[in-house]
Amino acid sequence: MKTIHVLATTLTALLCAAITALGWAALQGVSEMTGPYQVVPDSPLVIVFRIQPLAGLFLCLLGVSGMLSAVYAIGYHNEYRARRYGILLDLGILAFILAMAVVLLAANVFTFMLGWEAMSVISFLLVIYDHRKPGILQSGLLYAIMTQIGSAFLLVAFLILYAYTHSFDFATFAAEAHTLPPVVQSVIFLCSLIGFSTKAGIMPLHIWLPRAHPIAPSHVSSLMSGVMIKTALYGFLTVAILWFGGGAMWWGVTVACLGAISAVAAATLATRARGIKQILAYSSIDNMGLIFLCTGIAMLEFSLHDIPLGMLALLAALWQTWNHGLFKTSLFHGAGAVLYATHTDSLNRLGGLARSMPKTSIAFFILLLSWSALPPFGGFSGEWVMFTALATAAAHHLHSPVGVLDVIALLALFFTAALTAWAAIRLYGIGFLGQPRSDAAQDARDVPRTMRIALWIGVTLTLLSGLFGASLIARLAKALSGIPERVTPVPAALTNGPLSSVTVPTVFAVIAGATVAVWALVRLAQGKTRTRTAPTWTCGGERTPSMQYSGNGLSQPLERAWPLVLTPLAMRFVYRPAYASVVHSATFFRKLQSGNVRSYLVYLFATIVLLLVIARVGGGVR
Amino acid sequence: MISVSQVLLLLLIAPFVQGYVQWLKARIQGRRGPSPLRPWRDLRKQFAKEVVLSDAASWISRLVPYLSLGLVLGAAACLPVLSGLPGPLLASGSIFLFLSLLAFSRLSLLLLGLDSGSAFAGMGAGRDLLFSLLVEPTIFVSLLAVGLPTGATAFPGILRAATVNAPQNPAVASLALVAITGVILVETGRLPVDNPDTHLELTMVHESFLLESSGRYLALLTWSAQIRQVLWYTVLFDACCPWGISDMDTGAGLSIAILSFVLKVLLAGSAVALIEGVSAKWRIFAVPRYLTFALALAVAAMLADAIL
Repeated sequence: MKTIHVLATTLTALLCAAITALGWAALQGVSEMTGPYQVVPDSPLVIVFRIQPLAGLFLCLLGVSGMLSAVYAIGYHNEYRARRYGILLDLGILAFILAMAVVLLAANVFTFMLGWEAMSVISFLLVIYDHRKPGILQSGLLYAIMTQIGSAFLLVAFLILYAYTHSFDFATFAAEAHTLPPVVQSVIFLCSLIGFSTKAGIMPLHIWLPRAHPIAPSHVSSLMSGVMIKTALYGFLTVAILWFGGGAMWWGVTVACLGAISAVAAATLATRARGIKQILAYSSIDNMGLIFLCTGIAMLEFSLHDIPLGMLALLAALWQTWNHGLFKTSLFHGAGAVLYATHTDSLNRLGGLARSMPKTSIAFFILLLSWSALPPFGGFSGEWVMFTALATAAAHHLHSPVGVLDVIALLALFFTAALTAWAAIRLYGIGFLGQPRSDAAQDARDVPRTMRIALWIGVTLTLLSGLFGASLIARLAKALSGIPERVTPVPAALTNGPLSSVTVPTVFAVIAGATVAVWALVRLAQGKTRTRTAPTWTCGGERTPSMQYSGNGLSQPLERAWPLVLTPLAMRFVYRPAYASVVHSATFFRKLQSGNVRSYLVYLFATIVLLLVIARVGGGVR
Repeated sequence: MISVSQVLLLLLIAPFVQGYVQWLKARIQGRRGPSPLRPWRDLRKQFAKEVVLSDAASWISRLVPYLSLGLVLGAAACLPVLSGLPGPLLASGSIFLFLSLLAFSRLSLLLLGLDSGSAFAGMGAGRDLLFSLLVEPTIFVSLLAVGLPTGATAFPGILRAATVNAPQNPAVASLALVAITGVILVETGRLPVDNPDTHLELTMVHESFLLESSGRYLALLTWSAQIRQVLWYTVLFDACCPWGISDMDTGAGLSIAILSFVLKVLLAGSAVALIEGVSAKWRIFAVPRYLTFALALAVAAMLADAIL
């Protein structure tokens, strides 16, 4: 049992190292093909792999995130191993990472869909891993249904492309896609938008995400939130930018608007969700929203032939993808640590964890800073680049109608940032600070060392990518310089601000230096701090943990002041009608199922007659 | 050198500005009021006192007082106070960095409040977050409205745009002025949004986080709040009335800059005292409406340049 576990973990780690190396090579500009490997002779079922610059960043993210999760799993699996079915989880993670790598390396439709479907199915199985707990199967099923709807739309898009180019090869698509009739292009774009945004959790197709992520084992949530939803972005970028070069103007506008709506609405929902993992899941939607917002602006700029601005926005989207992937992976690991220690992730049952599990909570605090886009961490760097890209675009288009979209995008960015800070303060302030609200939180202890190591590596990585992000962005810009078919240098707007390699380290040094200087001066002038402990002031009454503000209380002002955003529009206008029509048609067709054997015989007979007629008529025509 | 002296100047005059506003407010209301040097004496007293920590407090309560002041000083280093040259400023004075540092200090303050498990802090945190939700977009958009016509997203550029543009397009400057003033009243915890003189739970916003702090921690936190107030005044000057800021390192230019800065701060303080003296506290849920108005003005300022 133990040997298999060690073997699986080692394999996963090796695989992740290989994937990271591949990704790094792709970022260096390596572009190579392997294959074709024929699955069935003389058929389009051919497997072809290709590494290309755009996939480089995603591969690196997959490798790093997978590696962290593999290390984390050593400690985290204790609980599952005790129940004697931990090994499947180990193998599932391995297969999941492999499937995502296939998606990122695919060079034709068959390989891509193979990886995509494997990724969906394996992640579905991993989500329902704890299927004996109530409610998990339903949420998992919702995920399965949504992801299959998405895949269906993707398949339609690919088949339309095949119908026009007579090839399943991505290289052919890239070469010929922009010669298709505009209407066909738009249909393909819409299908791929629906297909990919279902997986990416863009509103209104997000409903599976806040249900599926919280119930999965935490490192599975990490991989799903950190990487899997990004593979959808990769697919979308491939179609919209690599193949169609940004497309028509309204494509970009549509994508940007969807992204802006997702960002603000999901960030609002994140401020009122009850469970830590649910908050993080909503925050993944809002980050994907911001990323799609930047992608939309990039597409718009490409379609206006403003290549440098488009590149800037595309870089912003990709850089935020990397940073969000890093900190969200580790945040889910942190949430898993809380679950591991307390067996609950409901804010209203937590509290006081900063005192009972200090080592874990300090790591979580730093990740939280990165999440709230505060200097000098990765999230800050990502948001700064996004701000620069959007502000530069807004300045450029200030006197044209396009500028209005840029201003809206900026407003969405600011609102999302403020709402994210709210969610982060609520998560940490209620969940980790104050008095414990339950015995479980009271008795929490620091988690096993491997879990903490994974957390601290994540912390280090997000700090490093915040401090020295400039060089990675420069590398990214260089790798992408061929898109779309025009050589572009690193956008000038970045070199003064976020891209200058000294900026963020200086900021870090100044803040840390000022903080330490203040401490030292106070210490020098007034001596050591004399402290006394006393109970928190409660106006003289008896003090109970329930007197503290709860998670619901802290978000109540928003619900009261801003009820409009919380209106479940998608539920009312999309999902309820869809569900109702499925039930309605099912009731209608149930009339056929009388249960009477004779009527089934009639059906059989009628079907055969019909088939014969069709065969006869069809044959006659031919 | 200029950068460090700017930060030191802010550090030194901040308590005095707070004292001046309180004194003038009292005068306007017909009271004699405390001496303008009172905040200095309070700080000295608090620094010497013992710290009483809540029994629920964690490492957050020990870290935040220092971190908060460090962050505010870092933000001060982003702002052109005396000289408009981008060189000495942190990250060339990017507004994104400046506002992120202030957001960081807000986050650390709120967490400090929640750390003791006090219900007052929770109440104040909810309210402050509600305000900040509208404050952050407003301040961003107002600053961009001034800077974007020349493509500037950093304070030196905004300063230049304000110097060049203000006579040409007074609409932008005046709309931004009103929007930023609205933001300042909220961010510095002034009437009609927050009452700095009471500790009544029904009205408290900013005070509630500091309720459990004492001794040198309270002194550090109060001091950083006072510096933050001067920082917000400076933002207003940089964006809307950059008179007197020198681009030269000569002694004469510098002394004019210092003199005009102090005068402007006193003027802004007087305006705040006047507003405080004549207005009553609003209901909490009336504030978002007022802030939405400020945001609308900021957006209008942004569009004003394109339309007018």
